[in-house]
Amino acid sequence: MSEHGMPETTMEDNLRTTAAEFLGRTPGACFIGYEAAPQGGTRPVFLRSAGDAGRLVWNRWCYANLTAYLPEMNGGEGLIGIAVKGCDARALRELVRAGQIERARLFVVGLPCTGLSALDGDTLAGRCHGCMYPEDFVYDATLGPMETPDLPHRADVAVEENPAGKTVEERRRFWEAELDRCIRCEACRKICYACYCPECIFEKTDPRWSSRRRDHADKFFFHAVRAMHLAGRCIGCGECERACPAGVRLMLLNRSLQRDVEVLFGYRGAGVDENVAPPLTTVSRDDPEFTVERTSP
Amino acid sequence: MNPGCLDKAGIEDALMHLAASRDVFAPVREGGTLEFRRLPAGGLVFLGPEKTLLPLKTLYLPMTEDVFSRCMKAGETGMEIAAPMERDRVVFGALGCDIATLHLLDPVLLGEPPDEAYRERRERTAIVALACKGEGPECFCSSCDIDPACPGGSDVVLTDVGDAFLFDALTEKGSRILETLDGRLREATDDELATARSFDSTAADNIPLAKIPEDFADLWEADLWDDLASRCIGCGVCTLLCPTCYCFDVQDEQRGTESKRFKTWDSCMFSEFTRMAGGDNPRDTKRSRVRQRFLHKLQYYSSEHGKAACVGCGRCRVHCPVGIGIDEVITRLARGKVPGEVKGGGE
Repeated sequence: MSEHGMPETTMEDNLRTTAAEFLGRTPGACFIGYEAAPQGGTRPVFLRSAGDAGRLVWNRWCYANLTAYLPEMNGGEGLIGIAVKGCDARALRELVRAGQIERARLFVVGLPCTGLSALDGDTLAGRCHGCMYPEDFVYDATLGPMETPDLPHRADVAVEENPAGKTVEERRRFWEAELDRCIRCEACRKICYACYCPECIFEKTDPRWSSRRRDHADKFFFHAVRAMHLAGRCIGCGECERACPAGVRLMLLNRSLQRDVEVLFGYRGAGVDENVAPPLTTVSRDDPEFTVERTSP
Repeated sequence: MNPGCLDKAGIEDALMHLAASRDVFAPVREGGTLEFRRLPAGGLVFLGPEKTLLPLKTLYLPMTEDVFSRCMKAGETGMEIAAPMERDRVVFGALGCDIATLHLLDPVLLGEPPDEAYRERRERTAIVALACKGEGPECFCSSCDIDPACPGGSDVVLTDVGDAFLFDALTEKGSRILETLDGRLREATDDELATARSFDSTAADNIPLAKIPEDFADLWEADLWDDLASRCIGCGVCTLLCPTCYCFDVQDEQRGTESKRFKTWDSCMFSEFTRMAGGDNPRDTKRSRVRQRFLHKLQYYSSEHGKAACVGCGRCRVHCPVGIGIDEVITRLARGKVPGEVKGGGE
């Protein structure tokens, strides 16, 4: 039973029915959801026919943030049904705001998630600590009430509890050891909903901004740029950390930057509020460091 | 030389003894991952049936490797060719799947002209394999003609016989390692020999690698590629962790008056892999890249060299963040007519 009192299987049945109805009434549409993976757990699935809706599953192992597939479908044809958890809905809101997908093309099915399972056991997944559903988000269908569940808050964002250490030297050593394992596959950025640049600077070959030597300097540069580009835009879905084959603790970096944006700009988090865009994506004349006027002729 | 036994308590000491005369590599657990490291290393040496994250190929075709360096300071111009290795090496605890890889890399890297660094590493490295039962849920080496319990291509096979490892030399190189360890090895008991003899693979042997149609034209337009491309995120984890992937890029970099040419792993899953200097990209969709990866391993390689370039280690399936496993792809390709699947947003 979920915390909302509805057995998960009924939710799964509702999901299948909802997706089948959507695909049945909108020819040419696709539905992005989760299916059981042959090796256990779940994986993303793209359905095109109502008859395939029975493949959909909904459980505590539905990790993927499916909204990450939307930017590459932007500008294409046909409606897209998509299953989103509360955290994913925040990503969706930011993608729509950034013009990465048209809201009108989407049929958004809300999955009332009460917390995912940790990969290695039955405890609550680390990413779900500090869960925050988006306020006033309009779903096209839901499988139950889309409200922030009562889950533990995060402790390790505070510097004094940061596993990376207290002093700069401790943290340098910690990150050197973490990034030593990085193989520069860049799965972390490729799975990220917010990494939608048509060509990442780390893919550019002319100019080549970052060396492919995979030495420490390159790895620090890559991870620093990635984390900074996500400041105020990361929704904390934790997909980067899950995708990392080497188990680099990327969420420590991400959360630290989200906390900075929170403190510096009084910002509650990406996608939480429809009317407040991520601070580093906006410009204001009231900004004490507003420079456009000074530099214009 | 007769097989000898070494009690597990004495293994670290024996490895350090060998390390006095050559470079010794073994799986070491450090910071949560198991990797081949040169001893002495910071973490704990682990000799067991668990795969390192990066395959054995890292010791033969390193992730990044200098080819040569050049100095361009006035009066001191010169070029220095990088030496691939100084001392002979021995690799401990390699598993059958990883060792089988080397026989798949050899035809590519030792063909004319050979990759000299690879050739030298192959010639000057002894392999001490660890007999394995292929018990991981991801293992299907037995489907790839590999016997993990007695890995071909190794110089010594270690078998876990309880409190000790049985050392069995298969080659001259292997006998020399046993000689170096002489005095530490004791005679194996009958029980230990019986345990070693009964060691057998339980890895899945039903992945139909041999049944993939030979005519690739049949598979070229399969809907399977759309299905895989729709969910694939192009991260290339599958290629970087794959023991049989060998693609690398060659780059030059200049810092100050010194420049270096180096080789570094590349991946056919990366969009820039086939991008021309002028901007054209013949494989500019995820669908074409995914197809390339699987058909290269399962069809082009086998038509060229007689067997598929997969050793059934299952690393790709374990680490793919969106649940794509080569075992599933093989099974679906082997059905010939790949069932019609949906077209996703992979393009």
